[in-house]
Parts: sequence; C-alpha cells; structure tokens
Amino acid sequence: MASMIPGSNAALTAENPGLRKVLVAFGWTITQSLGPQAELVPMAIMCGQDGLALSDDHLVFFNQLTTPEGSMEFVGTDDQEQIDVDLASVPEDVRKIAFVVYVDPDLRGPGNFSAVKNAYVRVADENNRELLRFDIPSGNQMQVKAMLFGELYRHSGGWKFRAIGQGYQNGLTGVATDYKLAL
Amino acid sequence: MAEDAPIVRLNARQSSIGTLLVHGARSTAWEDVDQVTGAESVHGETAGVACPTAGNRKLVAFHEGSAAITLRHVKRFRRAIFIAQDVPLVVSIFGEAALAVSPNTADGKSAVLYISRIDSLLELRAEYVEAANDQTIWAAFGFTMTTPSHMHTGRR
Repeated sequence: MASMIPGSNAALTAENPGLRKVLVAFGWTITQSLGPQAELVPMAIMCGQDGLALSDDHLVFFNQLTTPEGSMEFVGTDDQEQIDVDLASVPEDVRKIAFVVYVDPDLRGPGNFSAVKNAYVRVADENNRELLRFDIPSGNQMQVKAMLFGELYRHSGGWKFRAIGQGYQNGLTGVATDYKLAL
Repeated sequence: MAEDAPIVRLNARQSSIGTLLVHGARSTAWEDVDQVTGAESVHGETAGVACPTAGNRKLVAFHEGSAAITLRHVKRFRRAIFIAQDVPLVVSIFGEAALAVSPNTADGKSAVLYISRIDSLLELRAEYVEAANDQTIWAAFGFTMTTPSHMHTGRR
C-alpha cells in the first residue's frame, strides 16, 4: 500500500498488472456539534480531452448512481462512501475521472470543511486490497467548501492516480464551473 | 406553474443538492419513507412528528419564514404539501433556479404545492383546492399525523 502526498501520482495499472476494476473509497470524521453539521458528499466526474465533464450524466454521487454506459457506479453505504470504476469499460473518450468531495450547500450551514478531520481517499482492487491511500493534509479549511481529492487519468495505455487535495472556496459552484456541469 | 401547467420534474442533481425552499407557504405537512408524518406552520405550530436527519436538520421544516426540504437526505423524503398564503409560492433550489406557483385561481381556489419523490427525482405539482383549514387540506391529500411516541422517555 502506497501513501501519497499532494501532487504525487501512482501508476495503478502498470504496478498492478491485470487490474481491471478499482474501488475508490472516501472517509472522514466530523467534529460533532449540537447545531447543523457539515455533510460531505463524494462525487466522481468523467472528463474528456478538454478536461470538462462529458455530460451532466457522466457523474455519480448518492442520487445519480451510475454513468450511462455503467462503467462507474456509486455504491455508498451509511458507513462508507465508495465509487467503483471498471477501468476496462470506461469509454475511450474519457481521459480522466475527477473525485470531488463537497459540503452539501444547505442554507442552514455550516458549508465548509472546518469541522472535517482525518479525510482520506483510498484506492483498492475489487477484492478490497488497498493499493494506495491519500490522507488529506490537515489545516485551516474554514474557507474550503469543496475539494478535489484526486483523479484517475489515462497514461501510456494504462491508468494512474494523482493525489491533489485542492480546495474550492466557491464550493460546488466552482466545481460546476470548472467541469462545465449544470447542477 | 399554474392550473394549465401544473407539473415540473427536477433532475437528479436538482433533487438532491442543498435546500429546496418554498417561500410564501402558510404551512407544510410531510411524510417520510417510514410513513412518519408531521406538519408545521410558518408561525411555529407543529403537529405529528418531525423527521431529524444526520446533519442535525429536520427533513422538512420552516427556516426564517420559508419552508425547507433538506435535499442531502432526499432518499428519506416521500412527499410533502405546502399550503399557500395569498402570495405566490416561490420555489428555489441550488443554482438559483426558481419557479412560482400562482396563489389562487379565478374561481377562488387556493394553491397547494405537492412535492413527491419518484425514485431519484422530485416532482412538483400545483394543485388547487377549495379554501379550508390545514387539517381539512391534510386529509384531502391523505396525510394522517403520526402520534408522537413517549416510549423513549423511559417513564414507567
């Protein structure tokens, strides 16, 4: 199992010959409070050569469980938020898959990561053998409302994973703008 | 939305991100997937049972004078009605999309916004009913308030 730092990448398929399917799982803890709490939502977006979403249907999250061709699926439960990717079946025009976690923008707040601790993303094979893990660096995240945790991308005929941890101060609106999504 | 264009269906993203707000309602009544029902007025009177969610927000409740559905937990939502005052009901969702429901018809009927979940999608329907008190309207839409249980108090 490889532990990653922001900006690093891992050659997933080159280092794991025969890897066909990956499970991308997310976790975090929230500092409890009596009032409204931040609720995090993982989302994965399939992007084309231009870095934009192929379409509004090429994303998965808890209320849109699969992409049209079925190669990416949200399979979250109460205990774990997980997105499965069948790498071999991902459409050829998909160049990368971005994994974003946003704080649900409920008007009653809080809409930021300030109470979020120990956030991570891990990538495992279909037997849940962990291949790599990226622990999001801690810090003052009062201004962060969404975060690009990492991305899977095509490289030399295979797939690599890049750890990113880039925060969005404009939250899901910024994510929608960057990937040209109509949310 | 009006009598001649009564239905709007939101997409999966609109149905599940942020808060769906209904401005201009005098009261709301709700039912969750466990068939727990409750109601609240804009003045704070309540009936039935509230539906708390993991984020410490009620599934449906008033917030600063507007009725709100907590869309992060839309999977727990089954249906709700929003009874209009004498002003249009205005619905807003994440992304600043908004739509309005005429408050009444030429023949004096009053608007009730009926929102139901169909799989992953919320459907909004403008209904027009004879003016009546809230209890009569709840009954017309098949809402029977859940009786609050005191089992959790530990009293013998």
